[in-house]
Amino acid sequence: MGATPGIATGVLIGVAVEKILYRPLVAKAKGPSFLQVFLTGWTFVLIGNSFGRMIWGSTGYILDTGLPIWHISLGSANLSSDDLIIVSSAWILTIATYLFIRYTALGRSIAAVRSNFEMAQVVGIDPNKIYTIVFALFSFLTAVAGVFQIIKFLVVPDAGDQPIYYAFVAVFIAGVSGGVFRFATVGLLIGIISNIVTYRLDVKFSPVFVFGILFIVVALLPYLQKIKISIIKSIIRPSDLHFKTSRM
Amino acid sequence: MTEYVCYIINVVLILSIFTYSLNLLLGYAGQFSMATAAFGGVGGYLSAWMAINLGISYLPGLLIAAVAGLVLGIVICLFAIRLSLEYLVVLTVAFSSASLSLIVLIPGLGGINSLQGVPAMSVFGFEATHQWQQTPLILIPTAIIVFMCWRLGESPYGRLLKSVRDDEDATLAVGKSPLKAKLYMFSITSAMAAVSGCILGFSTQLQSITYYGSPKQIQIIAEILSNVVVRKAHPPITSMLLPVILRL
Repeated sequence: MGATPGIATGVLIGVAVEKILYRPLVAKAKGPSFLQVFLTGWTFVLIGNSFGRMIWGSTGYILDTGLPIWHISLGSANLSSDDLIIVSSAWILTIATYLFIRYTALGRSIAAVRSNFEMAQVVGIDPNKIYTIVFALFSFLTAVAGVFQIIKFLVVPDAGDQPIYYAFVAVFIAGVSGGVFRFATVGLLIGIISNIVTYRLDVKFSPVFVFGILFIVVALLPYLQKIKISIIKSIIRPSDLHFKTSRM
Repeated sequence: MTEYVCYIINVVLILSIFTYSLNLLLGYAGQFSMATAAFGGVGGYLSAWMAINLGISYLPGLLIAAVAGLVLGIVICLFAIRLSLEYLVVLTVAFSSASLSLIVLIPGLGGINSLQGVPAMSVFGFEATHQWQQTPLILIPTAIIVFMCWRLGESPYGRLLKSVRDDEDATLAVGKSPLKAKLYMFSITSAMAAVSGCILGFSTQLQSITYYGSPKQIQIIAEILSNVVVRKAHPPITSMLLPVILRL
């Protein structure tokens, strides 16, 4: 029952941050505003954590959802009802997001603003409205993830830190212009790697591996792009390209 | 009271080094790094471990930290040099998170309980056990670094850095190498940050991972950005404001 007002609050805060913090920053920036928005967001996270600790303290507690808990065994793995609800909800939300972006008019407007901001304005799409909707959607998904996080682990003010850092890693490994399923797949892989490392070594090794993978991928990015271009060039031979000429 | 005032002065001086180094990298060369605090951590922990286990004193500790920061800065910059601003930020975030998580895991570095037992600052047999005794020993390296930053920034080399920041293609067109300039600046500023970490460790006789996390990085950035608030005053003045306000 507490999840609904919590998620609603998360959405309101997300939309307020976009309107009050990010939009004026982007408007004032003379060029690309990634740095300003990134720093503001990061600082907001730190401030939010500090306020949470001031109000509720740092001691975590286990949330009792009141739902019946049962277990199923898949080989040597034991899954609880909470795990199944979380995993199935995550995939339902992923598919719903994909369908929303792909098949609704609003989703196509979002894609239009992302791919060509000026042309989207020319055809009558209001980018500010689109940004607000995107932030509302993003805040909704993040708030739902936060609810899952505190159901699975402890209720602490910085419960959202690790998932959001890992999501950040997944987005940049998948490529910022990737699609929903690409992000989901890379996120799943990051989660699998993190859990294997936790199981085989220790939970403290998990950030080292996850951020280490991000470091390697980003560091090799310029070289991977060069390899990709040379592979494409080697596949498309000049003799394959035929040009028709006609006398006018 | 004198002890406390000197402690504040020492903190301001140490943070000034971080601020000046990032100001040189960001303000002059246009390269943004979220790893300044992490370089401080690497230099600090290395010199502290050597002081505890090998009996290295303050001055050799500073040199060792500077060399370690320089080498690490060169390595990171070789990966970062061809990246756009967004991916440079991501790379430095990944390096910062991975390296600080790794430091916690290395046995002998104290883990999350801090590395304790760092000997007091000792120069030519004189041991500075009080804060007021440490102030001149911190002031001298700070003054050297501030002078270096000032000379680098205001010299013809500083104009080269500004041209790299403003227009890399134009810099290349006049026969100067932007990549070399970025490499020099990244490595020099990393060395400065590492020296600052070393001074912090000897001053507090302790190395803790909390000295170098993302709140510290955000504080360093805030001190640079507070230049705007105090009408582009000289960095030491702005560096003074934040630590003093935080400790009032």
